[in-house]
Amino acid sequence: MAAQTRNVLVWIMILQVGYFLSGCMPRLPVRTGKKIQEDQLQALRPGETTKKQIFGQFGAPMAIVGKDEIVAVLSPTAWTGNHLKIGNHEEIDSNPFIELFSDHPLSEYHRVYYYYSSWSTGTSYFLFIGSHETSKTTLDRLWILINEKTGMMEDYHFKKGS
Amino acid sequence: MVREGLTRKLALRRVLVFLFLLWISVWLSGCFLISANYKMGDTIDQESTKNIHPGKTVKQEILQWFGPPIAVARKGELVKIPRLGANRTGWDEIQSDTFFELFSSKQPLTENHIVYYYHSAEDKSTAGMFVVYAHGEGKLSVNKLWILIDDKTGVVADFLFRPE
Repeated sequence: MAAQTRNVLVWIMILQVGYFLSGCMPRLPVRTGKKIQEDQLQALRPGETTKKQIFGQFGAPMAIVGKDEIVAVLSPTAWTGNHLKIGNHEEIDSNPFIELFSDHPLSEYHRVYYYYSSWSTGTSYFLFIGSHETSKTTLDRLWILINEKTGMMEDYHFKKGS
Repeated sequence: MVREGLTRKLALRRVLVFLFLLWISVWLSGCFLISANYKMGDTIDQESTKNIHPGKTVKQEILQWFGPPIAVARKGELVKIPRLGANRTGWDEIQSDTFFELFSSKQPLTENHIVYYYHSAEDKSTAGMFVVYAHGEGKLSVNKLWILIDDKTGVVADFLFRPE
């Protein structure tokens, strides 16, 4: 009886130590950029919405680009495995953004206003002497074509992150 | 009979205690195993390319499904490709002809052809230490998609998807 009790106690101790050493640690999600809401997109009317209204709705863009330009854009702050990578300014080629509106007649006055909103999450799992870290960053992106001469929004593209 | 049962229980207990002590000693010696994965942005996989039909799909559909390409390649130009991975910044300049070469054996290419280039990446790393042995490795898995478009008609002429 005493031996059985000891065995049970040993097992309880092993489980307790195992439980103490294991765990799951979700990290605080990080957002870069203001969240782009569905109703804000529905309010966009090509040929009617003005640049001023765009600023009022979405704030300052992450970048304003013209054709054949290299611009600096703040990259999203994101969990990368076990640490938080703070966003820094990275240069991007403007032409892929301009390509979005390639069916649109473009003049020297056209600029693309680029907005994004990123959401980065991460979790760590611990078990005994092992750990696993996972992180994911989703990016909602919005490109708005503005004619700087007229101050009007002429078109836009939105890509929801998956 | 009773003695045999007690001996078996005693042996089992010794094994359990031994395993427990072994585990504690491994833990106290600083042994560990770490694995991590990191994913950023949209994933481009085989599934996402199933709607691309050369000769039918148009450029605007591609832009709608995938967003703006990472790079737009036109013959004879340099294209800027951002470096991939969790802690990499900047870009590499690549001669666009290497992209066109992918399609050169399949069809005649004209000056109207352009290539949209997309990629997505996932960083995976593992590390471990066991008493005096340590090992770590990282792997960057990159899925790449090249789409050949006739810019005059706006129709997709061909595409190539390469998963890793």
